Amino acid sequence: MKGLNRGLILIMMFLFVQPTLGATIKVSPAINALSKALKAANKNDTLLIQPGIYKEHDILIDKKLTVIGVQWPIIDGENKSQLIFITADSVTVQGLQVQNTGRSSMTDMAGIRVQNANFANVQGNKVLNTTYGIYLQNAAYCLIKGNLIHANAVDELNSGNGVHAWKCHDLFIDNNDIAGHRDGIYFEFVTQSHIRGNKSKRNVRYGLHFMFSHNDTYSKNEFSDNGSGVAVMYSKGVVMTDNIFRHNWGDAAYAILLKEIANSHIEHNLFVKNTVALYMESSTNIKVEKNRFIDNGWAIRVTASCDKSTFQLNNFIGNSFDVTTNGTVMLNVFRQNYWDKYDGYDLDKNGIGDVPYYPVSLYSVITERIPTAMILYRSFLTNIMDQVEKVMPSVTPDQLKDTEPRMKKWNL
Amino acid sequence: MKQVFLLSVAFVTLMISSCARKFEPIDYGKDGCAHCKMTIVEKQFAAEIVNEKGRVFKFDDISCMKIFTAENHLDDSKILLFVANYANPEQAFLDVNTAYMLFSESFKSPMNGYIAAFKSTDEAAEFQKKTGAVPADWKSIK
Repeated sequence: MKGLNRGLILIMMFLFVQPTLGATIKVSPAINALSKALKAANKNDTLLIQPGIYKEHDILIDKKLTVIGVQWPIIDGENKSQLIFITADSVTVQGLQVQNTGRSSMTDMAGIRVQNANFANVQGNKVLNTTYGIYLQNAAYCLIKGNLIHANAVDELNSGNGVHAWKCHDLFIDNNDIAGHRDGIYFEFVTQSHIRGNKSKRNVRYGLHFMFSHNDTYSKNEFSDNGSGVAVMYSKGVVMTDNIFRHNWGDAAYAILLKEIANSHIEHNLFVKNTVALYMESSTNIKVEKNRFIDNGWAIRVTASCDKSTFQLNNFIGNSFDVTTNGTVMLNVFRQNYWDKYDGYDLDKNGIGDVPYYPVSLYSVITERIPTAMILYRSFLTNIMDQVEKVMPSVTPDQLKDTEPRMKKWNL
Repeated sequence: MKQVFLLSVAFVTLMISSCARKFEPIDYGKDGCAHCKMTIVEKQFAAEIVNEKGRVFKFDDISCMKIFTAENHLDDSKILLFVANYANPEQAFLDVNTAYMLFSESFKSPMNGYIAAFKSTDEAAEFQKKTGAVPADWKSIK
């Protein structure tokens, strides 16, 4: 009886599942072949796009379809218009080479656009020389994985973003390689999303840009050689872990720029050779711990408008300035960091220095007020001033100190 | 004695003229916004203040400039305010008091100020028709 039941269930499953599997259709290059095939296809069909060049644009996918490219078929917009437009739920687009969108100041031209649709799966595509690479608008539960999104926006400042998300939630942006856009990844009004394992480099403005996007996580990404690093602005509950920020160099460049951020976490990141590794303004309750700040111009710039933040268990090595601030009030806590400039002693041998470390040097206070004074940095006079200040502090904020500086660096 | 006086007058006038307050070009992709700290890349929405001492502040959005003047209690009549020409961003910046401004959510400015400036009403009218934008002016924007 039991076996019969099981057999029945199996048969039933086949009966019900079979019609939803859909047909498999091969599409070969011809005039408007893609648009025609997409129009003719039924819901749940699979389209196998054969190799070749398809010169089509405004390709609409308005039903649940699986579109798979065989050996990278090329969809070329000839710098005229936008390309793939997804408006239905549960569409899969995989293995295509999408290239050369148009440029326009009023419409955002995208290589692959998902609009008012959920559960899109955009995987393993090459998106080349587009204004916007992958554009998500009013979308949710989408997977954007393993795409190569490259453009050449070195001189072109009217460019778009690699992955652009606006009014979305529950996105998963995983393992993409993004270069040469305005912002590598741009989030505006996006919540509960994950950005993981992406490489974002050589973008004109930011590697990653958050605006008004709450409760998002980004981890294990690498941001290098971007115009100005990563900006996280006007957001709450952002978790940033295990990222690498490398060589974000320039006058207004920050590895991370935090502006009006609350209740966030910056942990176990690596900052190497950035002009300013971490810039914080009007932010509250940020936990900065177990990070490595190595060879930066400024490791941390924290304005007096920040409060309730904790900086602990970090390593500061080879930075020109460890910490600077623009006021005398300090409502944040520094504790148990390793500072390579600390020259105190540890008589009780508990691994913690017996005298506090003041990470704000006199000259950093001066350059904060008069930026052009930087020209005299590393002069003999500057060294004397710094030494005098150490003996008799007068200008530097005495509240900003690490009372338990570590003698040995943390093993991070 | 008179010669010395004349010389000093000439020197002083030279000093003053060399410090004339004027618009400083924005280095796109390098300069940061004085208010929001973002790098300025979008030419269409850029703006600039030159204050009474000749110090220059650059902005990536007209709304950033507005908030900056309010926060720092700047007197609009004493400072110079410039906005980018939305229709022709490569051309010279416009004086905020003579520019014709429009508000529309289709102006995707970096900080969501949604404000664009135009040189003439004709140019603005064209965009107004296309986008349904509403007129705005410097005093009334927030």
